Amino acid sequence: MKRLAILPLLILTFSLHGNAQSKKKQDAEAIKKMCGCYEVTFNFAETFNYSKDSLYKPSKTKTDKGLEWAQLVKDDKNKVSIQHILQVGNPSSPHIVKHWRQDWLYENTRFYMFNGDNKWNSVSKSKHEVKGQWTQKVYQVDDSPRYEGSSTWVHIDGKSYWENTTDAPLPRREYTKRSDYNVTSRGNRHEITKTGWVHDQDNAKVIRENGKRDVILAKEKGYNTYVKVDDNRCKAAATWWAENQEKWALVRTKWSDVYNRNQNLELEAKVENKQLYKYLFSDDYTKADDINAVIESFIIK
Amino acid sequence: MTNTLAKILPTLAVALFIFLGFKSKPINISSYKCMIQMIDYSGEGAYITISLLNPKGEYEKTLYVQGDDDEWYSDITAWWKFHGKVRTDIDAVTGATIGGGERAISVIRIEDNKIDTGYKIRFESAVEDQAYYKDDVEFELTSASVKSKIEGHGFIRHVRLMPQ
Repeated sequence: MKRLAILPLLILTFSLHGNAQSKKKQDAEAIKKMCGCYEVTFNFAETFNYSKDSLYKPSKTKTDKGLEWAQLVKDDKNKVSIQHILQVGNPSSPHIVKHWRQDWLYENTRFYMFNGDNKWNSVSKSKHEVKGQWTQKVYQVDDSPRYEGSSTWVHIDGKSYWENTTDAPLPRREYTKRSDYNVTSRGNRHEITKTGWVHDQDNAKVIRENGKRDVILAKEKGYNTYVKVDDNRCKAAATWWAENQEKWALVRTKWSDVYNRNQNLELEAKVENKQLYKYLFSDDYTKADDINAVIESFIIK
Repeated sequence: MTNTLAKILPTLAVALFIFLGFKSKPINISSYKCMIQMIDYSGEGAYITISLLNPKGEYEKTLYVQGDDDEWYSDITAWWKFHGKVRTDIDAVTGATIGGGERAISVIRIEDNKIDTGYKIRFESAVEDQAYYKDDVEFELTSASVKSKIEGHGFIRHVRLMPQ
């Protein structure tokens, strides 16, 4: 009799486990839909400002477009890694620029949370907090950290999306134009669409100072569209990756060692007046020893 | 007599106000020729910012910028912390970058009350992938220094100011 009572419980357990597995698979499929060749539009506009300064100047509205190859670098059980590569200039002889990278980790509990001024705090979450969630970890062009956050992929009404709010360094379009704030609180929304995907953003421009409450200086709308085109158009970028991936695997390995220290991280903006990406983009850096040494030289001990 | 005084009093007050108003002179601004001579170096042209610092050593005003692509302004780190916040329009006081061995002449305008009152002038210089000098040239603004030649410590060999 007791055995008969356990049977429905077992069926329910397996069925829930099966549902979780199929949901995880559906999530991973949505993430991987961001791979391929895309025509991209970048659109940013400052919307509201809360400055008390009558001379306050909002950032200019910015729109831009480009062609981007999103290369699947890793597709494991609990991790999907996508490297974005820009292909610019004349299509017959394009210029290739290694762009950002996004890693997606299932039920990840270890984070590096940006805290302003080239500092990232090592943060742990409980397994319970991240159950069923995917962490998106976004890296700079030199594979140093940028921002990360954990949330649930949602599949509803024919839509698939993931939303998260997290602190990030200022993007280049902002830090080269102004120094009156030091944190971008990013409201990120990745939605898979029929034509590709949309990176929708509702960001806040934040002044963060030690021992003071954050001040929101202004808000910003970001709306970046990725429209899928024939992979052939990104052939130059794909070829570049095939020829250079070994070097960048060495770079990722070194950064993994750094991240596995699980310590707060502070990076130099420049070493000998040069940014890290300039060293790593150079052909002088192809060997593990050189790559490891230069990355290490940027870590403030 | 009292009536007459009462009648002319407002007129007198206005006349006194106008007289005193004109008597408090507006602050005079003088122009100076500023000649920057660079050392010999190879590489990209140098970005140079010329700033006015108050007696506390704080940035007060950008007097001139050699280098017209604002994409690189954030490389002039100390000045950028000031200018990136205030973001005043500096188009009228912006020129081209200066290469190794070259010299550039600009005209800078300084209020007379900044001379002999503890104010300083700072020249910062930066060359892409080479070096950045926060105080390549820095000196106090005095009646003597505004017509003198000062040696640089970085990309600048010397600076010469000449009242116009």
